[in-house]
Amino acid sequence: MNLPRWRKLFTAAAVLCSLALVCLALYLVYLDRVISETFDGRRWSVPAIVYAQPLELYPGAKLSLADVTAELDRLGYRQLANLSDPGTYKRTDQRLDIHLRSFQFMERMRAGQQISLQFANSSLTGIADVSGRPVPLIRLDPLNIGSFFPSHGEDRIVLQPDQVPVLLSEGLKSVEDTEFDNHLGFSIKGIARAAWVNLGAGEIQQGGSTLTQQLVKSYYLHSRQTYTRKLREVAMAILLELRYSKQDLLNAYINEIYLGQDGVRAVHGFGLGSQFYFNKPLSELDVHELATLVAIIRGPSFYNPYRHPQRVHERRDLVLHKMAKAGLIDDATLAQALRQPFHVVAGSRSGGAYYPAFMDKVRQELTVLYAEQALTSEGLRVFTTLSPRTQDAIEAALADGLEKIEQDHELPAGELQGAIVVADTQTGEILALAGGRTAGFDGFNRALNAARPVGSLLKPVVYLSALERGYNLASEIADVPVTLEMRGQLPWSPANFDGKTHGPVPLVRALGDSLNLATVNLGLSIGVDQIAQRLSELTGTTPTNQYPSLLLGAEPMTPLAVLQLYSSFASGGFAMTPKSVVAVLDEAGNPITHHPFQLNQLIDHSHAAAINRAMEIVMRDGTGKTSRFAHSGVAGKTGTSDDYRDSWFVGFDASRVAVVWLGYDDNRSTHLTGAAGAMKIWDRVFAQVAVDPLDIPEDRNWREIEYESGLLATDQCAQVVNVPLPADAVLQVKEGCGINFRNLTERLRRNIGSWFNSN
Amino acid sequence: MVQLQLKHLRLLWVLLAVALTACTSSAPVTGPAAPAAPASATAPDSATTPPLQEPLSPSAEAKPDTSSATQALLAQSERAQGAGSLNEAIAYTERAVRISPRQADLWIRLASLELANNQPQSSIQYANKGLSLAGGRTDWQRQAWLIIADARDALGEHDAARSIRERWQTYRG
Repeated sequence: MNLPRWRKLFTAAAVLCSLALVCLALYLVYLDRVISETFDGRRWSVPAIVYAQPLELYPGAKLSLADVTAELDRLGYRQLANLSDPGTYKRTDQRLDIHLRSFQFMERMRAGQQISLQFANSSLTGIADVSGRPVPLIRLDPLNIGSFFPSHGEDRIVLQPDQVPVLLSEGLKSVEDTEFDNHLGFSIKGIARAAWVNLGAGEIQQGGSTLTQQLVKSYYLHSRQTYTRKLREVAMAILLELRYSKQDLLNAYINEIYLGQDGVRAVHGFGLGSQFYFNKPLSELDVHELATLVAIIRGPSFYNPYRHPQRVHERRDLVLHKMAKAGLIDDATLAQALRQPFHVVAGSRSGGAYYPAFMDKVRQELTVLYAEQALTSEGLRVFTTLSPRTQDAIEAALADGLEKIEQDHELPAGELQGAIVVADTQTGEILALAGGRTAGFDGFNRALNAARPVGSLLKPVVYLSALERGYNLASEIADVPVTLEMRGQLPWSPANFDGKTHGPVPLVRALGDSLNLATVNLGLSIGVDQIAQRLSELTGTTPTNQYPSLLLGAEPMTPLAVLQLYSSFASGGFAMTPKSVVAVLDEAGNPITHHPFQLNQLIDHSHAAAINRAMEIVMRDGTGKTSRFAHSGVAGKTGTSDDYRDSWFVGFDASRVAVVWLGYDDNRSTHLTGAAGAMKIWDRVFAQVAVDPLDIPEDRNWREIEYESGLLATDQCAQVVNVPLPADAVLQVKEGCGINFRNLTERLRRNIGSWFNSN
Repeated sequence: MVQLQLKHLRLLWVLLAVALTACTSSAPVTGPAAPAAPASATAPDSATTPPLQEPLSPSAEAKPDTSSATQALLAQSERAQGAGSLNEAIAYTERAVRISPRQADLWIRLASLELANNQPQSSIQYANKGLSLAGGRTDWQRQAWLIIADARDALGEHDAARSIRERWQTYRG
């Protein structure tokens, strides 16, 4: 048989065609698999969200109306006359009405509701619900302080379809893709129009993309615009349309689309976009704000509202007109929205990037328990201990205080660095943390990572060890010269700060005046290894320095480690690892991990009370006496390292313990003592958070001794200190005390009176 | 007469002392803001500038009244425990502790919940914490000690548990 030639050609062509079709089919199957895997998977890829401690409201709380409105403003609540929507409040004289948002707390869901608060004399005096019934306790929603977005930087808050305002979904269609409800993923008309515009070399390159195509581009395609890419995009768009409903696709778009850049963080989705640009949830956005977001998605760098406000403003108005034209808003709403000034909240501090230094600590604690992937993609909700009020106080104290110190001491401006950590004295929970002088700057975290010599901050460990070996606060310590000869090393002869020696001094004064010689003599008699041992028990880490200079604090520690050490004193003897995480919930609100208070009683109650009393005397009579809170019932200790390289102060009242470190990153001298530097910053912090004085325990074994001599004081003595002493402590009475100046007028009157009486 | 002379002498001594110390002391007798002389006691680490301002004297008003808040949370905690939700009960009590961290009975409540939660070690620590804050309240001390006794039993330390009970079971403070 001799087949005609055309038939041979036909067969060949048919075979080739079939092959091509098979290939195409296989390719489509491949694309389909890519789509279904990624689409289903990616819909749930949500970084963990981190929350601060919620503000607790209860009658009797020391909260002024201004305190509460400041917190509401942080949370993005709006002050309105009408409280019909959640996220609003109204203030009238001493009353505050709030429409709370609903929020999923650790224990349960709190529904949105209206409450009214009554204030008097800077206190919250009453809370009532909408029908006037008293409410014993309610909390504001916690502040969102950030999220753990993955290394490729995509951060988002995922919204369910019912959380998306109709105006947004319909508005998106009216502006970006009027045919969305009818097309099959692509639009001939759109492509034609784009081709026309591109041929005419319009300035903005038009993709002519449907919402589905934009979704495909954002999901899968990151290369440059080419024809093959365009074909692939259309194919994938069609497949998506075949596989998923319009509703699914639109919701995916709303959660996926790129809305801007915040440093390394890419803002994706309208949920986060709303928080980032307006600091409130999407459901609370006004018409003009929604239109602004819709305006930005056309090109988040071209339409960057921080760099090109005028450009975005114009496009916002265009979007509003399109919405009106599509019948989504009426003319009155349009006119009203057009009248609104263009605004977005200040960039760098918006949308949860508030407290990077504290977030470092949260991350540190969570990475022990959770894989990176779980933190960046599973939508976990992390509840932390951060108190935004305290955090704002320490950031202001550090920034303003450093500036003032640099001026007062004629130091170069802007170079001195600092770190602060504040914790609750009883629970060990971290309330605030600053890792450097520039708040909100995500750089080297000195609070967690800068280990610097602590100087005299170490002395309380020496004196605690002494108390534990039978010494008491009145025990005599020899402040006399000492020289240590160690093999292979130069002899070591420490000196006191003032260069003098003071002979026998009571223990309370040796600590109060931070006498180096007394401390070294005492520490050597106990044994450096014993002190090192005690230090490692209290901090959980072995000191690097095992030599006698350890006694004077030649031992580097981070501010966080110092906090841990002093928390053991401030808590009354309970060692606590400073912690920042309270609980982690999964996306549905089920608890995954709970992080309870962890205490370990390591110091006998009476020894802790004695050391704390001695540190109160440090403030009243010793190295801390220039503090403005010297007589306010606070305890503290100054620390200065060699050549003034580090200026330290730790102080606590009944509620809070705060560590402050100041120094230069290159380790040069600050020319500041602990009192002249760090303590000034501490003073500023406590001026803002208000001192909660230490309790004076009702103890029968407190006695008055003379600070200088440690002898039992008579009412003639100057500088009398009241200290707890063991019941069996035998004290000599001080004879011939000097004048007690505080009682001088009283005594003069008494003496003169008795003289006249006798006459 | 002799007595009178002694009194004269004493007054004279007082006046003399005033004259001697007035120029060296940093503590003004009356009137504000006498410039601070160098402190008589040696003061390393301390600056010589006087405090910026005198602090307000601490008053009782400075302390918040947390009683209604903690009562409400304890009631919620008990309801949650009654409903078999121990974790929720613990969360409520922890919230109460955060509001009023020096209230001994809250720590003692937490100790009993931790014991119910099979955490005898932390139960003992919380009870110790309660004891350290209990002051003279023997009813709270008794509660805390009896929880410690149960926790010791749970840890197999029956002797310790027994001796605690001997001391506190019959105690009526």
